Amino acid sequence: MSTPVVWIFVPFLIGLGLLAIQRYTRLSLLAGGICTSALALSARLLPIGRTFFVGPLAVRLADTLEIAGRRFVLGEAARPILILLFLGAAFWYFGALAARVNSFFAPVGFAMLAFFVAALSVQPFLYSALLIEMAVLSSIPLLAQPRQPVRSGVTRYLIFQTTALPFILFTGWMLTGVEAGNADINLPLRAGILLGIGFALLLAVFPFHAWIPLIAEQSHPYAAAFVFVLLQTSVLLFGMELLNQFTWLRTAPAISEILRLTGAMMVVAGGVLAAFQNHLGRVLGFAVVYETGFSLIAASLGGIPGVELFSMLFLPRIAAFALWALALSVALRACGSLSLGQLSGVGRRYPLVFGAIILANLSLVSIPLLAGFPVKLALLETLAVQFPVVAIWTLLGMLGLMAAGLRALGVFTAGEPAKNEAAIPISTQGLLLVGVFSLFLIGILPQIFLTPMLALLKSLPNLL
Amino acid sequence: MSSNLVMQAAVGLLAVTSVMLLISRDWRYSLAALGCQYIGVALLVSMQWPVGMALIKLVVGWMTGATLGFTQFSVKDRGEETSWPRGWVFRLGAAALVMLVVFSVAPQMNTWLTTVSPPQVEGGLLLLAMGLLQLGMTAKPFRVILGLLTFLSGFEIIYSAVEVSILVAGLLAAVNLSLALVGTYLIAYSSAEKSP
Repeated sequence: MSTPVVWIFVPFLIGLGLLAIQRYTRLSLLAGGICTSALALSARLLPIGRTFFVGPLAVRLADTLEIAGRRFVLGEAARPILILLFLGAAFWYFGALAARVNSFFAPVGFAMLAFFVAALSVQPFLYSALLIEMAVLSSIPLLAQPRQPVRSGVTRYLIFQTTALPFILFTGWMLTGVEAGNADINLPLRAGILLGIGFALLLAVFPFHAWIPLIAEQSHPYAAAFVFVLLQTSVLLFGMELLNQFTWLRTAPAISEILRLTGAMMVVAGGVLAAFQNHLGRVLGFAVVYETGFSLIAASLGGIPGVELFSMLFLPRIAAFALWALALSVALRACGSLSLGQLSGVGRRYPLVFGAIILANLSLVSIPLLAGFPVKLALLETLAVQFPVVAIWTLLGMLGLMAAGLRALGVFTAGEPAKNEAAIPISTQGLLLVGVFSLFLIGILPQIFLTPMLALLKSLPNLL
Repeated sequence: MSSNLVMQAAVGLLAVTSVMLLISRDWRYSLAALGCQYIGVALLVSMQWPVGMALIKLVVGWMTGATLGFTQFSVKDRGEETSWPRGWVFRLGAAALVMLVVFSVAPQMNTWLTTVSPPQVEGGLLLLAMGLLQLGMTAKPFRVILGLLTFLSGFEIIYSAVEVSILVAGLLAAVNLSLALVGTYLIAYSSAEKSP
């Protein structure tokens, strides 16, 4: 028995099993939530590389699995990443019970998790691109709703993510030449350019971001946000692992500048463009672009502070997007549309739902007491000292996203709501309340909720 | 000498099939072109890989074609794009320009990719560029999948010269097959959109 079997093959098999009961959507989601929680718990408790007893049976969990000459390694250092991925997924699965997602959510979610864990564990590391592509392909049934037309967002997502694959894989070959001290002095530059293009496509870096707002508008908001968050988290960790592994890349003088400028551009573009959207789904989409920018800025700072901020950004982001997406799904069901023009006065009819949307938005803006505040405050402080111009641009992006939230708030509270709107089940309201309280809890007690995120750094020793 | 001739013929085959994929609006001809394209791909890959492994590309390619073909049989409305640019003359002109660029750039690329033979660079770049061109001209799921398969085939030709790993070959085959399955899913549902 080995760790890759437990956290790659078992989730994949669970996904296949859930496919069999896919028509019972609520049952499959509930089973999915329980299984992801169990996998997160096992990632926390199971000893790796040591013998333990299950009744009379002695079991040793090896950290490596070899397939066709290549290795999948999930050692002690990967434990925090596994907990983050599976616990985050459990959070999303339980929320999906109220979001009324399509019946593929549970099985496809497991397939994506299995591929992403495989991507983070395969060695040589650059083969991850192939596994990320498999995860992307498996996510399509979530985004292209059954019995609904295929929209441009899905095809663009497919195109952008698939075209990224050759760039990353080819860089892998070049990087081995660079590491081996190849005499061609242009090789690092070429490898860097190819890698940059590959990551720009994978992370939807501006101007390759067009598919994100399109999908957020055209697909189910909860499923779309699940894919965005899972893809963004995995690709960002993949990127950091690359920096961790390749010395020449890590020490290249231009890398910090490129990351910082790209990140600032994404924060500004995501935040400012969000302010001009008339569809709540599209605002969420641009918020994803904005958040990716913050991670890139944190990564660009380098050293311990930068990497710590990078790792602490994950939890507030996952909590905010989960709440935002759940509230959008409920709002869509209750009001029939997420266009601002048709949501006049709905905040008075459904204060919890539309309040949750605004709170999630403001949490990403980093308003005090909310989850995003402690990390982004620290990030802005560091930026203001080291790179004041970037800090000003970042503030502009934050103001843009705040304007989007306040504009939506104005629409929700002005005018008379329509009379014939549906009631929100108590269980759904309970889930929304849990989400709202989590945003406040993370914001008020960062030392309890954010400090454990530093464990993610165990897998990035060279960056510390 | 004869081997070189075969490789040049394979590049020629790729040029013809990729142009046909771009111009043809009939799904049967498109899939026939895709099937022939994979023969050229397998021939170029066999320069570096054992024939048995190179044949995987052919078998997987034909399987993707068959998967897409079976789906097309069941689709009632296969309406093509009505937006500009739609004329075959325009597409042929664009393909000619792309080929001109590819065959001009290939020798320079060969100096960077010393382990890759000239026919492989030409064939690989040709399919990469034609795949991108196709992706830029369509929004139909069937055509998008054909464009992506063409693009990936081009990459696989060049990558085969630098990476001979069974795991990578297997994963690339899985990506191709999954693309076909995704295409099937999208085609089936996009056709459902039109039905009353």
